[in-house]
Amino acid sequence: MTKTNHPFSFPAKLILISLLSLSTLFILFIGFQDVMHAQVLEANGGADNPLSQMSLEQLGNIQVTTASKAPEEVWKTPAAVYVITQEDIERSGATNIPEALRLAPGIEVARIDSDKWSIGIRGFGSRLSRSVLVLIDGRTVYTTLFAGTYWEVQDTLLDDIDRIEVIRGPGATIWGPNAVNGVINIITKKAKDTHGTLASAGGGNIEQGFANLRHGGGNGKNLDYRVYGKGFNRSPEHHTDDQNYDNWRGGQAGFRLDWAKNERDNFTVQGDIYDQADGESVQATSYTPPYSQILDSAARLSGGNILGRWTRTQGEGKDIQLQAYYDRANRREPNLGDIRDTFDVDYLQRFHVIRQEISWGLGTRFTPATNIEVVSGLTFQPDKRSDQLFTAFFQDEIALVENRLSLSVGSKLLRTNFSPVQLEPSVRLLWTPTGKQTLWAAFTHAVRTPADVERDFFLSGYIGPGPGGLQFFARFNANRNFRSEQMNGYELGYRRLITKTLYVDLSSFYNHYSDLFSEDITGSPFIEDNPPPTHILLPAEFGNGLLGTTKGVEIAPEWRPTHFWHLRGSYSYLQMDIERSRNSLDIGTAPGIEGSSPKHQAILQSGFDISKKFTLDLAYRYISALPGQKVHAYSTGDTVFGWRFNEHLRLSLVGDNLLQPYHAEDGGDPGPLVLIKRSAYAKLTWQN
Amino acid sequence: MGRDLGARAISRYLVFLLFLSLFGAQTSHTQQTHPTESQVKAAYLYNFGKFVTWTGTNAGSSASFDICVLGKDPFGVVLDSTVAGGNIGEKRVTAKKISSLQESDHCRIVFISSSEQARLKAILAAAKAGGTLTVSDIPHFADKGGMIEFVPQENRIRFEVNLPATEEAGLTLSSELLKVATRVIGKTGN
Repeated sequence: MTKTNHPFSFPAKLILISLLSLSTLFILFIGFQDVMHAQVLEANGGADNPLSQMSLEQLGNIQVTTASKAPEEVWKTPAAVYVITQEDIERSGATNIPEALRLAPGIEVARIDSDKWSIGIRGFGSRLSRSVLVLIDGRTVYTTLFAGTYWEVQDTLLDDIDRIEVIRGPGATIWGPNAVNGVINIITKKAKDTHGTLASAGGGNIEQGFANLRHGGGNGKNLDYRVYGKGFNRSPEHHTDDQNYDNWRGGQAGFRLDWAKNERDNFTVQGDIYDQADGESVQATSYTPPYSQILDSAARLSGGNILGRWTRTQGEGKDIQLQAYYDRANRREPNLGDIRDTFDVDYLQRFHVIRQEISWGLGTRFTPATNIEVVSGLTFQPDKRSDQLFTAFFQDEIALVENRLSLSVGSKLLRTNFSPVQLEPSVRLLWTPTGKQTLWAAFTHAVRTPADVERDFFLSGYIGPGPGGLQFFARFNANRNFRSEQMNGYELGYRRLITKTLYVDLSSFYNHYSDLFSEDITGSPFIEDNPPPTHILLPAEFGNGLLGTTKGVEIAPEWRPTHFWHLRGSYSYLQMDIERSRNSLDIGTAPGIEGSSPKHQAILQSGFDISKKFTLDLAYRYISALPGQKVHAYSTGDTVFGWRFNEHLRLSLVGDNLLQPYHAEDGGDPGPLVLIKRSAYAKLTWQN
Repeated sequence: MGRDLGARAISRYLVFLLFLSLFGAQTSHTQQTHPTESQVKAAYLYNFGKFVTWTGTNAGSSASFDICVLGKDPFGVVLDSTVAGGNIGEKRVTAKKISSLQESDHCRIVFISSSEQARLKAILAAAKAGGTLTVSDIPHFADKGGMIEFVPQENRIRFEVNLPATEEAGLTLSSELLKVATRVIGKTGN
């Protein structure tokens, strides 16, 4: 047995351990006493109760804590919904949307490097988040380039987010296309809720500097507005080879205008513009020397959007909504350029008819895009295209037994310029046996329509020098026959308010997939002249050669033992079984897909309101290994200490990934794994 | 390796200890932190009594000023403790739980729990006849004919008033109460 150098000698260790045990017992004793004391105080009331003495105006100004997080919307939804509130975001210390998403069960968020994440819901996590629909205020932020979301440019002032609804499973019929594994709906506050000025700034070791400014106001009656601007600079994460390419900086500005023309009509106009430099490292292949290289440079990403919405409430649960938006996204990466415009119009109507709530809608989206070739190993043909999408949906929510049993039936209809009309039917049942529990079950058929990347994309990889002095390449060729991926999802869920302060939400699912994206070898190598010079080519294409199932369970309890202590947790279990279909030519990507989503995820959060001035939030999270990414299981902790000086000024001290100096979460970048560092930052916020 | 385990275990334990020490850091806590929704709503119910005048025949029928809760009770002990020992006019304020509208004859104020959402129409019709002030947090309660609706607004509890409904029941609401309401249905411009 080797003698290792212990910093604590044996007697010192003994003393330390006894001290720690004694202090634990002491603290538990004091804590227990205080809880009893607090309970006694709460029971006391009477007309001497300070609240009873307050005027109506004063009562209207008091901030309250809600006893349970089972808001009406979640409770009556026959789907696995989790709502991340503004308070959750603020007390988590998250500086961008993907980090805030870690709070929800069933969603896997793995940080690849400083500016990229791999996100998935119920499996299939990837940088591209292909089967998840993401919306910001009704605007789909998914790109038809590869049917996914570029998370690094989905940003807004985090203080302006009212809530993020995370729906695991195929979205209830009314959501847009490609809501196969889930929907993430980011909703910002109404302009009338963001009056006044808010300014915040801070920095730390990784979040090197950031500043936010927002100002809102209104005419006091029916017109409200806000404008905001933000900027940030984030340093690279840890690289074992010192290639610190992932520096991230950017700025964004935007506005929102809400006009309540009369008690029926509401209008909203909102828009944002952004510009970022995202450091990346990409593999670039070309048919001319040096054939394959890694390019480290900053991608220039910029764009903007403008959205208009009109809602008319006709009373008695009848309303209509018309929305239109334009979005522009420019991406200039070291190996690819993409300029994409999106024009979208949606119409939605809801009304009541004897015990039924019917909703239906129509939508159309037109996306002209231009791809710019930067390296010959990554091309699009044609390089200019316009994608068209047409969606319609219908949903009938029938109250079989008023307030107790309801059945929702509906279907989405989807048609693109390269796929025929597809139906996505869904049936959901919600049973509320008592006011404190609900049980729901759902069956949905969902599809993921093809993206540019499958149909028009030519991606080459350099294999090495080949016989006869020729270079050997493999190329995934565009597959005009790429079909939509298909999914049948079966879900079961249960929610229970066990006591007024203890709530639990359980969901389970079984999803069967077919026609999943595969990488197929389509023939034997042959000599090819184009693009020059002459080389040997192994032909391949993106096909629909995989199928499989995923199943799992998510449990999310929430407990408020006292009104100053809030405990929350979630545990998610996922089992993925993906394999090649018969006659598939896939090269063997299934194990990699299975191994890129964690089997177990757990998070435990504790929120303390120490006093009116101080809050402390602690989070502990565990993610099991990703063998497909060569990433070990890890657990880490985050903490946020809040100090409110007065009603205008507050300070937050945030520490993230505290339990190790650094750890890996995902291997999305070429080269060695990028390790996510232990970090801390301080933020000062002034608000009037 | 041994050293790492020792140091790591210690640091983990310290984190746990920090966690616990905050548990013990609560002292005269309840005065300083936020009250619950139920506490604020109970305080409102108690307060409303001071700003409403009952002009119907039911006005003098009971010896006490009764605030009733219809349906699943969200207040528990909170309402009782809020009103305990209080007086409105010369009547002692008491909190009662009722399970049907028939029992509400002597109630001055009835809080309709969200469990009664399905029977809302019938309840409102009966309440109007009885001259009782109806209050609830059911969404769109005021639009449907309820008199006062609690509306959450950014972690605060505010309320909306349906003036015609109160007038039909023979109740007069003080202008001070109407001034604080976020919306008054039936007033010109609303």
